[in-house]
Amino acid sequence: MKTILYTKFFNDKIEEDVNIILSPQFYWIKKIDIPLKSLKEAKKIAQNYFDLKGDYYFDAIKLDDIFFAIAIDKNLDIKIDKKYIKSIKLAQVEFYKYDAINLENNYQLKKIEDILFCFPNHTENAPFIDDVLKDIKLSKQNINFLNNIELDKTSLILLSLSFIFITFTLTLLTFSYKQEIKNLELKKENLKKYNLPLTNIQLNSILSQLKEIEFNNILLKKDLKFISKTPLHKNEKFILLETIKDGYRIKIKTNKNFNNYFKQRFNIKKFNLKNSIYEVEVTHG
Amino acid sequence: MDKNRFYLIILLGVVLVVFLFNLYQNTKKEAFNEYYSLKNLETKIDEILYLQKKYSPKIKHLKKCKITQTDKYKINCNNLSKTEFKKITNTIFNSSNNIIKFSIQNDKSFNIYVEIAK
Repeated sequence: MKTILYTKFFNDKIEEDVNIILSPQFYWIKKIDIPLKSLKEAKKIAQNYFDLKGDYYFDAIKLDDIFFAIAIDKNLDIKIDKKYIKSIKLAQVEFYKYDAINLENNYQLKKIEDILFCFPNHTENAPFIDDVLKDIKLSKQNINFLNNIELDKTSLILLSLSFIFITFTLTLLTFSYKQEIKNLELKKENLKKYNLPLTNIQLNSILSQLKEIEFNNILLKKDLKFISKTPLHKNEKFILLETIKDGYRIKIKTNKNFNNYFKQRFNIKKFNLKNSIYEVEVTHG
Repeated sequence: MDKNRFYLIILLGVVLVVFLFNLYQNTKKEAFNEYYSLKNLETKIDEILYLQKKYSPKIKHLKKCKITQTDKYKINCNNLSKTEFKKITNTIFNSSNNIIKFSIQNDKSFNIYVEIAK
């Protein structure tokens, strides 16, 4: 990828991806003269080193254990389409090891007390910028002022509060449901006191057996009610009533045939009427 | 603030919210499942207990009868008067006993044989 030094007299047409090195003409730089432990601290105080009017991007860099505060105009108009700008770097960082570099238009970059400036005239025996750029190995330090976002405090606070509210509410709800699950599991444990299995399949099986018992007993009661209402005369009486498979055997002391009556509810399996005894076997089948 | 960092923070925030929302939804679903499972179990157990109680053997006051216990109650009541017969049939048939088999004979007096499930 091509690397260019962007100066005030730069007027090439760029239509490919480039790394830009900003000339000192586009930024303010000051050495931080107080002892600092980290670059983070330097970044925090960088703004205090300048008394500038306008909208500036402030940053700090560290070169050979020296901290520098930097200020760049946020409205800096770089005449290159932004889509081609892959990175923006500072001449101070990229050319720090040079004492002087000759530029076009009879200008030069010259280091004075660790800070690079852009001056008119050339320095004798100094390398030319095109040669320097050919072999340059760029640092990892980028200036991201084009990629910055402005946030007013109210929006930021509202956004943060909404976020905190949502996460807090969700966490609280999740926690309450977890508690509810624990309570339900405890209640489930309590069901063990009935000495019944706690799986649906086993319970269904027990329940279906009990329902079958209930069905059979309701049927039995209805059958007995029906049998007890057999229209007998005074001298007629039941001699026997007993269960057989799927039905009943009934004996009545009578000369009458009760088939028509029993047919109303049962099927007659077999019957017999002799010696004044009516005997019948009835089933539901 | 750097745009990339800002978008990253927003993205992380969204990811966290989505994660928490998912966790909340899953926990809620689990709680509801647990609730309905418990209600289902309770209903079934209630019904089982009711039917078990309803069909537990009720053979008290059968003083005139011989009761044999195996895996079921075998009840023999012989030579009963009409009053005794009525009392005993009421106890056996009108209560909710699980009657497996029975035989009632009325020759000169009433004889009853009943098998009731334990």
